[in-house]
Amino acid sequence: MTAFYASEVGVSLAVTKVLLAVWCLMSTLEWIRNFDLFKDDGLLSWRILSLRPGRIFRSDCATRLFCTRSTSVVLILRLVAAAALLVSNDALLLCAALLVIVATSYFLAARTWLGEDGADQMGQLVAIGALLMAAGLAAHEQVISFAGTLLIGGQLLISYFVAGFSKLLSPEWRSGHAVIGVMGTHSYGHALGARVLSGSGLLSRGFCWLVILGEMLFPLALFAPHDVLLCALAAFFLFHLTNAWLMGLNTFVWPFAAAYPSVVILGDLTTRSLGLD
Amino acid sequence: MNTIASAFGFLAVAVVLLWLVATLAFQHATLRGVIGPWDVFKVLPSWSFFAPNPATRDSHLLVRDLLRDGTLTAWAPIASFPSRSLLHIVWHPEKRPRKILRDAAKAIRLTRSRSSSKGVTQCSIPYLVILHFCMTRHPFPANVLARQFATVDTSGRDNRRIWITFISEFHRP
Repeated sequence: MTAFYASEVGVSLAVTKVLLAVWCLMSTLEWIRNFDLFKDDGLLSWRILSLRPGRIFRSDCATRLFCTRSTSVVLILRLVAAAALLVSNDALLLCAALLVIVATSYFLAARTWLGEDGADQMGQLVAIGALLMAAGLAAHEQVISFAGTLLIGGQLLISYFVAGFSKLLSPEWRSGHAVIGVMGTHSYGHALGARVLSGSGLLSRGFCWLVILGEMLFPLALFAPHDVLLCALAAFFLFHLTNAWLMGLNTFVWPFAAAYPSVVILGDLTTRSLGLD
Repeated sequence: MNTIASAFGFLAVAVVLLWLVATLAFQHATLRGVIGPWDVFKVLPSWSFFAPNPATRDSHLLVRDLLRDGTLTAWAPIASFPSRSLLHIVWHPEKRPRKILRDAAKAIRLTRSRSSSKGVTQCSIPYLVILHFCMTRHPFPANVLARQFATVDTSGRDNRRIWITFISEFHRP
């Protein structure tokens, strides 16, 4: 099992870092496009956000740290780190780039306070996991790398299961009305999606149950043969792409996909350990 | 050196296992209240996307002005929704300000429903964020004495239903 993990972790990190870099580039460029938000007359003006609970936010140090110039430096650092992830395979350089992404993600979460989404959360977790994987490779210590694989894969399994279970508890999701309602909004909907789904109660209910069961049962894919697991992940990738098109959730695709290689390793380790392969 | 690295590795695995258990517990509303204050570094994510309450409403921000002659202007929206396009699969920066406004409007509603006086809401950061935005980003003609904002929810595309969820006091520039 150790030899198997040693042979797979390098490939897994290579795929994860590229997908994470795509997310980091995409989300950072979108923040740069919205840079007016950080200015004094913007929605995220530090003059207002520094008033939040916690004396530390009103200190001179925090004011200097979170000013617009520092924020622009942080965003440029993220772009450089993402580019380094794309072009480099050196474990130490990857550690440095991932450390920058983790630190700047914390910076942005503290600076913005409002508006964080699930893509930011998953991106940050994948970056921490990938940092552990790269650190393990740099130190030739598999256990450290495995901690990273476990973190990324575990969080993906929990995220899909919890998303499905929360929907199961909702009467709106069970009846199929949820997807019609969401597609009917301008924030997260799509005119075509709204028209198609509201035209047939059976279709909307079927779609909702497909999402509920698919998300809830995803952890079972860990015990499935390798090819079945790959098919399940391909289906979820398609699901995220559809959400990007219909709901505008474009930044969700890449951090979630970046977690897939870790789930593949965990799945292979599980089936090998249990003799299911 | 290797012993230290191995020890660090096993410690990392133990921490990650604890992290995963805490993440699972954090998804439960009651346990979230207990664990939340301990999550200083905000490492526990919330994974219940669009559930149990799906986002079936759009949030709108409107302003109106009280003029010096005592008349009120009509409510005017200050955020718009561009139509969904294929480009949004790779490039959709508009979602950020919209999500910030949505989060702020939701927080104002929650604060208002949980507090006994309007003063508490008016001192909350989400209220100040929206007020500051309305005061600085919407033109302020010389004949305007004060400004008021409202958050309004709508659902559907053709036969829209409308809910007025919050109306602020008038504020002088």
